[in-house]
Amino acid sequence: MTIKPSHIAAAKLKVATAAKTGESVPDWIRELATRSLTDTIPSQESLSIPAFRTDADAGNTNAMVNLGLLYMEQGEPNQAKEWYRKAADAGNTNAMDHLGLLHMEQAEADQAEQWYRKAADAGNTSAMDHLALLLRQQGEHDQAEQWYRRAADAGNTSAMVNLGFLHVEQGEHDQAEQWYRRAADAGNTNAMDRLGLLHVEQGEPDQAEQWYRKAADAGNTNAMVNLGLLLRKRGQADLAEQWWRRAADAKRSEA
Amino acid sequence: MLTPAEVAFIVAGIALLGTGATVAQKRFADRRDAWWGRTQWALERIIAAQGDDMQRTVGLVVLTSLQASSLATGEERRMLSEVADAMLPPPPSALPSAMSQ
Repeated sequence: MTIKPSHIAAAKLKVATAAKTGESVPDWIRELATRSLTDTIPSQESLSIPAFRTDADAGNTNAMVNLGLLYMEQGEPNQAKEWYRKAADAGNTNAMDHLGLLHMEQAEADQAEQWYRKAADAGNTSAMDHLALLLRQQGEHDQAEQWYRRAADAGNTSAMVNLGFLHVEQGEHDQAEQWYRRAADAGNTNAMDRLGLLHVEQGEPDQAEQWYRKAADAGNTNAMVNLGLLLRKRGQADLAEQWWRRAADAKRSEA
Repeated sequence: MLTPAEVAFIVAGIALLGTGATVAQKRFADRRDAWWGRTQWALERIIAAQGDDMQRTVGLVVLTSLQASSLATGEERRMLSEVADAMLPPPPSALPSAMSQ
């Protein structure tokens, strides 16, 4: 069997994921992973932009969006805007949504709203959720609720959480719980955290703990903090500190 | 004991409780979107590679970098581990030392 560069790259991926998940890796894969790829392939940093660029130049709008995201991550918003704009002009609604986010970051709410609306009208549920948040910030609660509902009905779990929160603000805890539950069942950890809060407010600490724990185990740092608070209230200060420490570690690695 | 920085973080976390969608949540979601977008790109590169081993290798190298991110979940890392399984050669009794290009 001839060993190809992709075999070595696959072994490196296997060993790297195993280091995080705790999965055991056979020795022959570990040995393969020690072999060098540097002579055959450039590093990820040096290949990402040219690789996306090739696809973007060929008219692939998803590559244009990815290129924009990459430029954003590298702190080059003007370059990002250029590629988002090209993709948006070609009809890519994700690009429109990202353009909206970029304008929001640059405190250009009117332009952000235009792009969110264009994407939302074309059925992009993330843009509906972002548009609703913008409208809520502008005090347009009825319009915000309508957009949250449209996005939530179409399966957007972030909108379900936000719609749930609107119901909490209006004192409609049953309806809030329904939306949080729908989002939590779909795996949204913010929804699990909110369900925990709701149960705390309703004097049901055991159910609250279940939801916090589920969200915390999935990596939600707010839930880790809340679970710590709940445990501390019960006098389990050591356990509480463990969760807060995990939350702090998770935040540090995100930064 | 918690460090002052950890205490400050916890206090900041507590202050966020009960608020609606936060800017931090949205930024995190955006970073997740970016992470997933690049993961999809790398996976597509591997799938589309067919006989092109360099393209497949590029995809795997990018995935190795992406899996190290704090944005990746355990479930996603397990999925990437399965991708690696599919790309590995069959277990040999002795691996040849020479690499083909």
